[in-house]
Amino acid sequence: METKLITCPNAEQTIVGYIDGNLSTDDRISFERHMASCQVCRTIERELRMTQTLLRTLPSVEPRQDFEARLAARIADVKLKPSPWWMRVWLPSYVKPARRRHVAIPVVAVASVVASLGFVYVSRVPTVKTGAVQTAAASDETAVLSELANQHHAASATQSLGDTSGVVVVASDMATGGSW
Amino acid sequence: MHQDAELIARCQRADASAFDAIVARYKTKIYHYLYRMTGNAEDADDLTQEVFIRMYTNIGKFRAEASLSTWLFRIAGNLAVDRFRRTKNSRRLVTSLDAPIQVGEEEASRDVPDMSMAPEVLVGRRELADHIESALAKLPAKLRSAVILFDVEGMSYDEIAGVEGIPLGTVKSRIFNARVALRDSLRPYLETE
Repeated sequence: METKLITCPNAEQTIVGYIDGNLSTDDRISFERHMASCQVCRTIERELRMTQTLLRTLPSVEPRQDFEARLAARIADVKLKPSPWWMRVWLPSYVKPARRRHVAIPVVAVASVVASLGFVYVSRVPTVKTGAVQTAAASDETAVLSELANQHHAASATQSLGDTSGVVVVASDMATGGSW
Repeated sequence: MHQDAELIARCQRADASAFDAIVARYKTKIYHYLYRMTGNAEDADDLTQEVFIRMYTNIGKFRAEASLSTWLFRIAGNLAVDRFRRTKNSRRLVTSLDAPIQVGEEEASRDVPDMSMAPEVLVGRRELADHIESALAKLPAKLRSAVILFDVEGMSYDEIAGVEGIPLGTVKSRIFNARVALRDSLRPYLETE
């Protein structure tokens, strides 16, 4: 006879709790009263209890005697086998070990591209800027030197050998912290 | 429980003897559960080893939010489900109760149970165990796990809720539905009254 469960709302958890001895005293008494007048629940309760009894007859099983020795060998193997460098990149803990390979490859690839672009940016932009500054500084320096040379030639042309008055002008420039 | 916490703390300090003690304490329980989940000794053995390897490699991350037992059974359950998905070898797991048994090179029909015998009398008979295992193998993994943890491993509803990560009401529903399905598969052994 196939029993129908739909006749007793909430019967599932009550019957399971009753069979397993997990109902409160009040609930147990209430369910026993219900069963006294309900053939369906009585049949279900009896059959499920017998099913549980059958399940508990399953024999116990034991792992093989050499379980620990084989486990030790497998653990030693795990210890000896380092993961490749690209697998050791930081990944969030929710990335399961089995999926790390699938996540690590794109992470390393993207990181490589970003690093390459960054290197190009860093190595190119500052070089242009520095060169311009250096060129400008060099131009200024050349102009100053040229001006001083002209002054020197102009002064020398009107002075006799050994006259140091022109040199005094230059020395005073040095004292002000010029680029000499 | 207290001993487990102490063993875990020692494991986290790389004490190998503590790891051995945990293996000694839990290997039979985990193997037994996985044997009932997978239906064969080879897979159960392999997965039980895998459970302890996972424990070994992740012991540093273990926090006392769950008990060691809950953690190990959760790993075992996940591994069993992964194995089912990967192999999809339902032929090995599900055997019709009406299918003949292979005896050497010949086939024999399964014995029809003596209806006058009460279940208690059948205890210990390999044939009955085969029928029960076949009936278990027909269950969806979630129902199978719940009923094995309660009726075979003797866990409480609360512990099962922790292992499966489900509410208490869902645990009871799964146990009920599993028993109903098992009852239907094992009906010849039940109709004794």
